[in-house]
Formats: sequence, structure tokens, C-alpha cells
Amino acid sequence: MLFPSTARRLTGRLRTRLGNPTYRRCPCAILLLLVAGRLLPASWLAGLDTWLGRPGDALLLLAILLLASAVFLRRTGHTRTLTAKPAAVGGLAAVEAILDRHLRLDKKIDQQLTEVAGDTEDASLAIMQEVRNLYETASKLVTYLDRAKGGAGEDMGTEIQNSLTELMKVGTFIEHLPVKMARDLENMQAVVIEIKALSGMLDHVQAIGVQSHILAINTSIEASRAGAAGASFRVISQEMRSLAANSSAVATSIHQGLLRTRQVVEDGIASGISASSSQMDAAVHASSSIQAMISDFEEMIQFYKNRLAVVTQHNTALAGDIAAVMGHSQYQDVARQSLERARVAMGQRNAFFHHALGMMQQDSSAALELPDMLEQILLDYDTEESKHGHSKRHAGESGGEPKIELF
Amino acid sequence: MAKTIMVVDDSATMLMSLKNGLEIGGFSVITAADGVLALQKLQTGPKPELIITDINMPNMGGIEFIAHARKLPGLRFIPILALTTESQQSKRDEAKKLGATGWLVKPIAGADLIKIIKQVLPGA
Repeated sequence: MLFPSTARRLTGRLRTRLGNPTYRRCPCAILLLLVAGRLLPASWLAGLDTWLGRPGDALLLLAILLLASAVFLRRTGHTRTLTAKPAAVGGLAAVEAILDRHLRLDKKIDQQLTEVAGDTEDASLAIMQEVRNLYETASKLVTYLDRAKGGAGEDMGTEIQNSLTELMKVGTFIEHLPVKMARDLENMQAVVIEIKALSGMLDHVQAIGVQSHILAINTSIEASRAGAAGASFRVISQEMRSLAANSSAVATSIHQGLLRTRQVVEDGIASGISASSSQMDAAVHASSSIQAMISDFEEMIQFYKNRLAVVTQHNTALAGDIAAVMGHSQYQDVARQSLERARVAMGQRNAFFHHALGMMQQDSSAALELPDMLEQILLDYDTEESKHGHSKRHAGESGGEPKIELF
Repeated sequence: MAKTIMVVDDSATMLMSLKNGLEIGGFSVITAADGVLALQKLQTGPKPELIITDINMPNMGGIEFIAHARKLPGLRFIPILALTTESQQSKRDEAKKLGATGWLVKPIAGADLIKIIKQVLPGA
């Protein structure tokens, strides 16, 4: 069976070259001949065998014709390939020109991306510097307030506290002043009573003086009656009269002195009572004022303490926010590295284009390998990117691995 | 007294971000742009209490830097944290084998970083 085996061999041979358009026409021609052979009427084949002289020669002739057709068509295809080459060369030249433009465009894009990466880095640094300055300013304010609270402020606070203690003592004294003044008045009134008692005793002294005077007169009368023998009585009588006069004068003087003293004390009590009434009112008012002042001062101290606590709290929150800003700014570096990897892949791709063009210029059949080579670049890029899980979309994980791991 | 942390990274953004964040957190910070410069500073300057290093850097990468740093006197036991965009397990294992204390993937929030530092640096 020549046809089937020949056909299989030729078809297999041509199938391996299907990628080359030069050979695509050969199997078609062979198949046409086979079909033609099959369609020939059996009488024609038998007649031909008769004409050729022995059976089977017709099939042999068809086989020879088939082989000759195959060789002829192959040559024709080769010739067509050769005649088509100028067109392919023209196509490659066009591809080369396109590649050249593509590379120039890529270069410009690459330059632009480099500039953008630099600009984002500069901007990121500037933002961080500004934020840091903001934090420094806020910290200075808090430090100043802390120092005011802990240093000079505390000294002032101590002085104020001491003054407050003194004021409180004054307030207490003023509070007790009315009682003290009332006690003093009572003492003075007791003095007046004593003076009055002394005045009563002076009346007795004056009565004694009057009796002494009467006694002196009687003595003088008796002395005159006795004559010479009564001379000594006369002396005694004169002395007693003198004593009575003196005691009367002294009593009068003491009485007047006591009266004046009593008047002074009573006037003092009267004025003291009058003055102490208004002074007590003033004392009560002063005491209330001092208490109010102490209360206000303590409230003021608490107010500023609260304000300082709030400012400190805000500053702590600010520090936290700034730390967060610093963390977010790290995305600039992450993006820069991602861009860097993309540029590496683009460089590999462009080198591949050069290589592919060279290969196609030398052997057009080698173009079959090019898609696989480009696919490998894509796979390499995907593999490299998969090692960096950095996007917000991957928050909490990084390519399946934890973002934070302590060994 | 503030604890000193060395930050090694070739990105100016990362250096400033970490420096500011750590200083605000109460730490003193030394910076270096790659492994070679970091080793020079470690050999000539004061020793930090903690090192945070990037992995992909020019001249000398983080993995190699960790290996060299561990051999320097006084640096055998100080914590070294890798802070990088890389996340694959093989790199982590390599860093761990050479003496890294932990692996952090960029970007990391300031509060998280301070928390980790307090975890590996007692008394910070």
C-alpha cells in the first residue's frame, strides 16, 4: 500500500514544518493528488495497467507522479519564500523603526518617572520637616508651661501660699476681735465701779475730818477753861485742827481726781462702744473678703492646672499623630522601590526586543521561541512583586506572611 | 538617659521618617545610608542599644550587614530588627540564622514600631 504510507510520511514531515509558510502548500497538493487517485474509475486503472503491461503499474505511476508533484511544489514554495524575503526584510525594518521609537518613548517615560520619584521624595522630606517643626514648637510650649509650673511658678505659689496663711491668721484675729473688744469694755466698766466705790470711801474720810475739827474746837475750849494747865491741850487742839483741814483738803483732791478718772474711763467706754461697732462690721467684712480671696486663688490655681493638663494631653496626641504621619510617609519609599522593580522589568523587556529583532533578522523560524521568552520576563516580574506585599489592600499581611515577626 | 537606636536605610525618606518618629518617642538616633557606612559608625562611634536595618541597599545589604555587625565586639546580643518591603519566608529565615531579632515589613506605623522596640528593648 504505497499511498497511505507515503501520505503518512509526507504528512508527518510537513506537519513538523507547519510553522513555516513555505511548506504549507505541499500537504494541500498531496491531498489533492490522493483524492484524484481515489476518484479515478477502476476501469481506468485496469486499462492503464493493461497499457503498461502488468497489474499494479498504474498505482506505481501514480506514486511517481505524487513524489514528483511534492518535489515540484516544495521547490515552488521555496522559491516563493525567497521571492517573499524582500517583503519580510521590509517588515523587520519597520519593526526595528517601531522598536526604536518605543525605546525612545520608554526612555523619556523612565526619565519622567525618575523625576517624579525624586519629587515625591523631596516633598515627603519637606512635609516631615514641617511636621517635625510643628512638634518642636508645641513641645517648647509645653516645656515652658511645665517650667512655669515647676520652677518660678512653684516659688511664686509658695510665696502666695505663705501670704494666704498670714491672711488667714489675720482673718482669724479679726474674727475674734469683737469678743476681745467686748471683754475690754467689761474690764473698763469694772474699773468705773471700783472708782465709784473709792468715791464712797472718801465721804468717810471727809466725815472723819469734820469730827476731828469739832474735836479740836472742843479741845481748845477745854484748854481755855483750864488756864495755864491747859496749855498742852491748846497745842493738841491746834494740831488736830490742822490735821482736819489737811485731811479734808486731801479728800477733796482725791475725790476730784477720781471724778476726772471716772469721767475719762466712762468717755473711753462710750467712744469705744461707738467705734467698736463700726470696727466689728469692718472686721467681719475683711474676714469675708479674705476668705473669698483665698477661695478665688485656689480656684485660679486649679483652673491653670486643668489648662496645663489639657495642653499636655493635646501635645501627647499631637506626638502620636505626627508619629502616624511619619509612618505613612514610608509609602514613598515603598512606591519608589515598586517603581524601581517595574523599571528593571521594562529594561529586561527592551533588551528582549533587541534580542528578538536580531534573532528574526537571522532566522525567521526562531521567532517561535520569542513569546516564551517574553512570558518568562512577565513571570519573573510577577514573582518579584509577590515578595512585596505592601499596599493598603494588604494591610495586616504581606504576601501571606506576617508584617511583624519577632524571632 | 535616652536609649540610642541606629537606623540603616538607603532611602532619605525612611531615614527621616524613622529618625523623627523615634526621637519624638524619646530615643536618640544614629543614621547610616548603607551597611558599609553603618559598620564604620559602629566601629568608631558609640554603640547603639538597638539597630533597625533595611535589607535591599547598595554597597552592602541588610543581610550581610547583620552578619558583620554580629561579629563586632559588644554587638553580639543587641537587638537587630530588619525593616524592609521584602516579605518572603526564605529571606526571613536567612536573617534569623545570621542573628536578626525580628522582621518588620514596610511601611510600619509609628505606634507599632515603638511597641516593638519596647518589647525587644526592656526599659525603653
